[in-house]
Amino acid sequence: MNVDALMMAFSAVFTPYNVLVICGGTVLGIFIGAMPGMSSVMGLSIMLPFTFQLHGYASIMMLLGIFCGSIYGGSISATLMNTPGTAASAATCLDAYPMAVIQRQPGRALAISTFSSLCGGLFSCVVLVFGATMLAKVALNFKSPEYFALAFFGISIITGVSGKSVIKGLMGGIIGLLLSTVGVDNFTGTARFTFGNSFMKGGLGMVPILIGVFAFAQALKTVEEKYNEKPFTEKVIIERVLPRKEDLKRIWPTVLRSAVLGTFIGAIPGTGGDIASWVGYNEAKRWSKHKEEFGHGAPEGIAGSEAANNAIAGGAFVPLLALGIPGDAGTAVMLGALTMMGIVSGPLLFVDSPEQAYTIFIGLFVANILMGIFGFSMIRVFGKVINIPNKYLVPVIVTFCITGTFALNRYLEEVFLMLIMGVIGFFLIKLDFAMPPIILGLVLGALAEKNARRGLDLLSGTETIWQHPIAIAFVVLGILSLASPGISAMLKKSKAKKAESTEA
Amino acid sequence: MKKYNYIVAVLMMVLSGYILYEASTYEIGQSAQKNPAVWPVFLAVALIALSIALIIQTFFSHDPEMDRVVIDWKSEGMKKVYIMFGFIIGFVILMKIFGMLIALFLLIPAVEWLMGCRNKKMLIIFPVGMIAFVYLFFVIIMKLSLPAPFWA
Repeated sequence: MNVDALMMAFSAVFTPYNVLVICGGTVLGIFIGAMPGMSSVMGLSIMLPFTFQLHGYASIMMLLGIFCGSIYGGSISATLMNTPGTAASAATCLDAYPMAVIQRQPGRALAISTFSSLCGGLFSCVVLVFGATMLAKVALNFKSPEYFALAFFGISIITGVSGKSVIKGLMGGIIGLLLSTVGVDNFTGTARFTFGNSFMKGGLGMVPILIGVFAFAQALKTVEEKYNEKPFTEKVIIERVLPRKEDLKRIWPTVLRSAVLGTFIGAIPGTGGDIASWVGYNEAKRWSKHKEEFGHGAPEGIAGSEAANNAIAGGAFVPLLALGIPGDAGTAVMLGALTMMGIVSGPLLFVDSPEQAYTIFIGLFVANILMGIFGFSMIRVFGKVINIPNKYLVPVIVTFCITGTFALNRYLEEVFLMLIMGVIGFFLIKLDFAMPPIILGLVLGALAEKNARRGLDLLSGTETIWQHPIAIAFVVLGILSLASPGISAMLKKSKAKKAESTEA
Repeated sequence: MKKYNYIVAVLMMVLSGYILYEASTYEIGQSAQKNPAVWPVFLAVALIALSIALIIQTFFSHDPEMDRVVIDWKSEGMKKVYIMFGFIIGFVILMKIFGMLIALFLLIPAVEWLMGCRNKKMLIIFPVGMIAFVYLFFVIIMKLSLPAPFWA
């Protein structure tokens, strides 16, 4: 580890300004996660343009705070109103809500969830430091074919974030890749798909599209589905904010197990907090001595899902920083933000600018610690935000979508682009298209095209594909990833047939 | 869903056709790096293949999901969305004339009302608070010049 770079990173993070910014980001993230109408990706997308107005590393520090805080924040509404603030907290509802409402111990449920989230997050940060550094060392030998194969693998994870239809997920990915081709071609200077419009020659901005499909489209969906929804009015009294000794004794093996599982799952592109939390919950139930309590307020149930879903934060940053491929929609937004800030993630980051990588490591550590501190100290305040009715939340989201998009580059055209993408996104969601593949395609588009074209030239010369075993491995992994839904469906069918024949 | 799947597949094929047509107009060099059409053509072909796959999957599918009504154009919720579209178009026009702050000041209570708010005080106080925040944050703190009215 480069000690000078590490010291530089410490001094970059621990300035009063940056610490204040991480605090702000974390609190904001917890608020965003706690509000049932908002998701982590939506919060990151809306706040992205605002963070660019901050100086130096402050923008990335704020995004890290929002990223960590929002994952944890989802557990608050899951606990108090049985509605997960984010998809990653769905499993938390099963035991946190019964403990909070039936057993009348909301403080205990929130304390267990905060403690488990903190442990999961911190554990994954430790793994990130070692995992990313080691992976980056391996990736240093990559050439264009490997980078293209890597981008192909990154895009193939679309099958994991496709939602209901894999074919539509892949179509969404290609739409994202096509959107990234709009503008002047970097190699030849040819204007592509610009319709003679000078604004489009510069390419379509990632942020307006991101805000459009993730935030504005969701706001339209809320208008359609919850236009007259009555707000949650039950008054919640939180009696304690720190976990009990007996609970800690009971949950620590679950927390540790889920932290390991969550970190591992997070590091696999195409997975995410929702998968991690369900796996963490199932494993907690499988290993528990009190299986009968699950579903009725088992502390291990809360700990299992919360430690796992917060552990994905560090895990997902391993391929993001070491290889430059995002594991899910949240890290895709982070990758876009890093790129726009001039931080080129990938193996060279650890050679050319190790202080930038270490700054992100330390920032994530600090964000996790602050998440725990705020979680324990301000839980009563966060508990109140779940009461914000949609009639106020939607105008706020719409206002931030418009002003945030404009604030980025001061182009009205980008506001129009955001609105158009929001409307398109709304109808695509209705037609069972998932939005993350579009964003993954958009973010990875430039990398994929550049290396595909370079790789093709390289391979048409003296080199052959067989000289690039790592590229072959990534392509094979990518093909397997694309075929996995079909394979699993076939396996399920054959299992069902076998079961039928044995019954007969 | 069946009907919409076919529509989506056809639209994607039309889009691919346009991409292939536009790519055919580019000046092409001898290497892939000098060929701006190679990547869009590859993507368009993949999109056509996926569209065909979607048609085949939809045609042979026995999934009850296929009979689901995905867009109820006449539902109360969709009517609210149409009104929202109207508000957005109105906002864009008003923004060009009166600037962003005044247009937002009219858009916010409109959306509040659309979401079921009938409290007159909140229909005034909330937009005033939001505009004050936007002005303070963007104009004062971020020193951003928001689109101004035509007379300014």
